Amino acid sequence: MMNTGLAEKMQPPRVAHVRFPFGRPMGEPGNADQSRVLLEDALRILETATEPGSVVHLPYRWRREDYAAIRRGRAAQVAGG
Amino acid sequence: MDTEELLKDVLAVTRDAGFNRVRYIGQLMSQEEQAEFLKGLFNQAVLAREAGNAEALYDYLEAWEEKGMAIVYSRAQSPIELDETPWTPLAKPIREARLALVTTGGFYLKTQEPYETDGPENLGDWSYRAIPRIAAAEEMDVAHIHYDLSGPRADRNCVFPIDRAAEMHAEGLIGSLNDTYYSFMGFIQKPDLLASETAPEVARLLKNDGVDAAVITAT
Repeated sequence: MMNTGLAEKMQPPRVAHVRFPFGRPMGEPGNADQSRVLLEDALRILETATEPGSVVHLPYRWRREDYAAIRRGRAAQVAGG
Repeated sequence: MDTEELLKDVLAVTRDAGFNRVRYIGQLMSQEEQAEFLKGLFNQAVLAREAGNAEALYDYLEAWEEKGMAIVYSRAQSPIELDETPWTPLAKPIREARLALVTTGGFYLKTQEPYETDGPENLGDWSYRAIPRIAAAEEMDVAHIHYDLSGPRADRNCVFPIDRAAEMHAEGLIGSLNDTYYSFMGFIQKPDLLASETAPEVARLLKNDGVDAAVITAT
């Protein structure tokens, strides 16, 4: 989970890239829905990445997302199979 | 004041402001690029006001922040050169796997020594701290002088998602959680010692605990 373009230099096997402020890789303090969505995404990348150096650019725009709604959408998807 | 100074002054954005990384435009870009940014900013501001919607303006600022960050990172040095990117396939689904968290956010227990955030020779600190998974937020603190610590002090999960991992485990979404997590403090001016000593040591400890996967959060 990095908010940097350092990935190319550091060569980690899998990277979740976020455009968040420096020092807030999982989101805004106190926003549990946001950090939950980010952790779920990181774990999904662990499961789905198939080759070394996989970088996934997560689309979130800091505060300009409804993370609770994203979680509800995911729950509905699971329930719907 | 000449134009160059004026541009730099306009773009000297404080570190804690929203979109504060546009300051890299003032620090690192040419006068032409700075002028281009300000011209576009004015246009976007006018359009945002006419539309009553600033979304495109925010996107514009974020896009320029990314351009600045790209310059910063193109100048960064990698501590070690690897022949190839390391790769271990995940052996089982996350629902069955043992997970650990690792962070570079500078977390430590109040009973442990804090990190040398700077050090007499400005070398930083490549040591690590073992953080028990069940450690309460009140038992922990952060030491780091290169990012804003008010966030992790208010809510550790914005850097080190200990409580989110516990919730996902309780919901059956993660197989098991390792009893010990690890923190480093990311200001490390002797990365060769991190690469040769402390990072492999943490990897060994995780392996000995049967950890299948680790999520590393960097600050």
